[in-house]
Amino acid sequence: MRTPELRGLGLACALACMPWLAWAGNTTTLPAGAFLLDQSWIEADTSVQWSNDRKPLTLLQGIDRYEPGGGLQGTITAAPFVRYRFLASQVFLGLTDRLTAAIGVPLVTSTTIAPNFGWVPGDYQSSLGRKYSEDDFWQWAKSMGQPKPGAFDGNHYTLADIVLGVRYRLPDVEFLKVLGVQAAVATQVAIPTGVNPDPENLVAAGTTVWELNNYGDAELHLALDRPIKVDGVQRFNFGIDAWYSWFRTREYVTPRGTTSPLLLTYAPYVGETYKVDPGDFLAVMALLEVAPLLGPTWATFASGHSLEKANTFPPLLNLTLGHSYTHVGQSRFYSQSAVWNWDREKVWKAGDKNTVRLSADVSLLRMGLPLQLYAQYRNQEWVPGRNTRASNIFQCGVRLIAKFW
Amino acid sequence: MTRPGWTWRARWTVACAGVGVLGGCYTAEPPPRLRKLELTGTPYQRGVQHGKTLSSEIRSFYTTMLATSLLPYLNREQADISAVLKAYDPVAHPEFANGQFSLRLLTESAQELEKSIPQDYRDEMHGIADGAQVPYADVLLLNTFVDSTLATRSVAYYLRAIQGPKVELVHATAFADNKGDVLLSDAIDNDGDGKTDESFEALVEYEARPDAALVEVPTTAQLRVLLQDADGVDPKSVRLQLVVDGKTTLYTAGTPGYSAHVYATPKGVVEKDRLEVKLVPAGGLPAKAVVTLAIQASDLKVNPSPVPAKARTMRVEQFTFSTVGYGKKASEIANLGASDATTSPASTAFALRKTATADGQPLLAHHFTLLDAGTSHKHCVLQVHRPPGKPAFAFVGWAGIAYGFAGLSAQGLGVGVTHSDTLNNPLVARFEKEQLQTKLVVSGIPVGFALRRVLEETATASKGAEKLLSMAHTFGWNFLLADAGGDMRAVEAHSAVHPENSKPVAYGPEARDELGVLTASVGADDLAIGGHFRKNATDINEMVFAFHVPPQRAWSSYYYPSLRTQAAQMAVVAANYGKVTPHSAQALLRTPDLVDRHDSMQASVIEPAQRRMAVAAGIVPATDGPFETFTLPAWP
Repeated sequence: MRTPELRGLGLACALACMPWLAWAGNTTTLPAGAFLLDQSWIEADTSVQWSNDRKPLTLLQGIDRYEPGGGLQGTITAAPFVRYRFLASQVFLGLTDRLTAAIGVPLVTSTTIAPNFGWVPGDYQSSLGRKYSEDDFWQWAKSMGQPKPGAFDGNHYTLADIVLGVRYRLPDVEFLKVLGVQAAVATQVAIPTGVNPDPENLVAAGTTVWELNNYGDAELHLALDRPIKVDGVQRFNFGIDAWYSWFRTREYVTPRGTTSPLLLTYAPYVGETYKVDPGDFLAVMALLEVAPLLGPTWATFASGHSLEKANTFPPLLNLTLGHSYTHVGQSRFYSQSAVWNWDREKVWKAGDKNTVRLSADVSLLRMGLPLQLYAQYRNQEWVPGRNTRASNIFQCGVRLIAKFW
Repeated sequence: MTRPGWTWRARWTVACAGVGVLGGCYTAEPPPRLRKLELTGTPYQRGVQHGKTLSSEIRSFYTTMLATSLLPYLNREQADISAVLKAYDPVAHPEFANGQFSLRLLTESAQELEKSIPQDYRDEMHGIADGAQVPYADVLLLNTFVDSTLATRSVAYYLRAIQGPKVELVHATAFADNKGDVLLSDAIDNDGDGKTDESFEALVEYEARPDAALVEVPTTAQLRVLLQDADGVDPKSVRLQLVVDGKTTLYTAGTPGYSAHVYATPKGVVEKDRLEVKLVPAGGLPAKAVVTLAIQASDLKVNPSPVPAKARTMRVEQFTFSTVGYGKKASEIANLGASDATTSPASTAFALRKTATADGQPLLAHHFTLLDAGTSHKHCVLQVHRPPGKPAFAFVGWAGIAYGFAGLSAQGLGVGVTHSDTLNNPLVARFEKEQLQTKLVVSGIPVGFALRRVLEETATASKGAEKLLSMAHTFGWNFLLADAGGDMRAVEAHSAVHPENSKPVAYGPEARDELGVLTASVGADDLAIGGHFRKNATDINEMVFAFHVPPQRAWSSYYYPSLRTQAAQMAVVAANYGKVTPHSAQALLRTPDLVDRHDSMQASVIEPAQRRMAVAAGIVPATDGPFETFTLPAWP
């Protein structure tokens, strides 16, 4: 049997490649002593992957099945639909006016994968007296010991990798001042609290950074903002963020085929474990922020009853349009079998993804409420990518800003 | 805080270098399509080298070809086989229950076959096992499963064939202007029985054959087919394909011109086990044409096992005739039909020399196709053996397997082999003795080791053929040998269950049949083999216990496809006679009608005089890839 992989469905559900920590702006830091609580809900859907020539494909290519000596049984088609849901809790703390620390705790509330199998009949089968129907084929497969893979519903309230990060706003050196540009560097690391998928489950997904494809084990950002103020209030901002995401090599338990004996019996020749170097990300994002509505501005306790200070608070409505380009490195597999490695590496080639980001922030700080409500949509299908999986993510949340002292 | 002396440029440079290092430039590359092993030393030492080098590939091949493909596939045959052979009844013999049937069956055969494997090859297999750190039993199974599986498959197909519908009669009639059947008054011996215009002139008891059954049939002819099955024949299942000049018209229930009903004798007795099918070709038949009627039907009993549930369906049978004005004898008209995509070209090989090649030098081209299963092409290995003090030899095979299906020796002998279905195999011999308690245990020397023996111990085609004729074979095989001196021999081998009736034969390009037609050549300097017997066309045809054991042509699913492949191959050879070079031979092997696009496993072009071999492997079909060439040193 010629057998391209069903395995890897979980890995296919790459989220939009955006830094996980939801920093406000590119270079903003919190005032010393201020902290920000961010609670959001995220839904990420994936059903498309990009070919090497930037054509949209389903997450799994058609799999031709042959009857030994009997020609083409047919082609298994699959259009998997993968959905992750998260609750993300983040805390930002201003250590100094220029240095902010953060922790992000992503909690996967559920992952569902609908394989959406289909069937294109193949040759007339002499031994059968008809062409194989889909039902015929899965009966045949089951008689060979391979049950039809079902849908996946798991990762209920399962931690993904927790993220720790800091952002440092660079000193306002003269040439940046002249240009009106602010600069910051940020770094973050992921604590491996996520889980790998069950190796024996053909359709499964985990919650590690590699499974999510959303942020690296470690990242380094360099960001620039060029704010434009009108009447002393920032109404526009053009920002650029360039970053590098590094993924550590990770080790996995090789499936032994206990539940999918025909498709997942790898351990005898791959080894008990294998390693994957996922390949790193190199990305750049450009964004344009517009504040079309300042909103009422009141002197309240939030501004120390100072109207002047209240006027420096964020506008009531801030809209953001961003685009990021992410180069994704070739994944490298290490096992005892070069043949097996290649079978996987050829579907995880170097490529890129393009993410369009739209977001709206509503800040009530000017009115004395230290709250921000926000919604964000990130799309990776509007601009084609290459050799990557496209995720579309909706996120909405609330931020509470406070100060300890 | 910044380090003194660090400029922005320096920092940027360091950052970029860091990014470069972290990012890496790794690009995945496929593993080599064809691994090459140079093996030296004693047989055991060569085995250890093989095992150590390809340990993972050996495990991979065992797992993906046997454990997760062939073994579960064969397990599905248990119900059919145990219905006849009680030794495999899972209730009476629980050791064959719970999915252990195929593994035990192949293991028992492997152990029996091992007895016929020469000691040096067994030493080599032990070396492979030790080198790869896998059980010897696994290596033995890898080296014997082809022989065991093909022999078992032959029994399974035969049992399936006897339980499915059969074509009993084909009858052509042509009535015009109420003057009676033209075939009875055309003054032509249409059925070639030596009698002209006898009653039922064109009523033919169906028999699979390589040539036409009727000639000079009127264009107004109608066809009548009588099908028989103990469970009755499903009229809705009948598929008649009328092939004219390669163009196929399908007739099934509901197609104008097609009708089917349960047969009633002239006395009105209804015979429920027979179905009479009539076909009136739309628009009549073309004159001066070769027409093939391909017939397939299923019975009325639905068998739940193996799933999916299905009726018994017969092989596509073919009945060929010529229409009026064609002018050739039946024996001159090949029964080729056309592939309906349910069959693929069979394995094939041809040898050329002297007037057939551009430079007069001999060459042998071989394309082996059997079962890829999505894996065998990933495990192809060219093995070059350099035994101390003996001539080197090479063959293309697979990881963990100590033989191949095509090879070359430093003494200038090239050999290729194809499989040729036969019931003249050790299983039938056992059945004769043990009857329903028979076990499907194969004996004899596995075909690949037979090929190796020839490469290692003989230097000419005729000596090699003699060697092959002296061996006990496991199944049906066609060997083609060509040597540096220009001699070439074909060997059609089987197990010679009853050698007084049929035994392996060897022949050269000069061989002709009883009608004087060249057996396997188009001229004096070519010879071909395929997936069927030519000289040994009646490889077996006798009663064994209570069963009629028919010849290959009556049941083999490869028979008609092989006829077509061979016809195409010989046409290609004829068209290029005298112009073929080693390079163009590679192109000939790529002829679409010769290529099984699903199960092609390896192709090679051997130049015995130059001790050169070009091999294509590692992709499906093998001929879609490049041919890689290597040369053996001269000996002595």
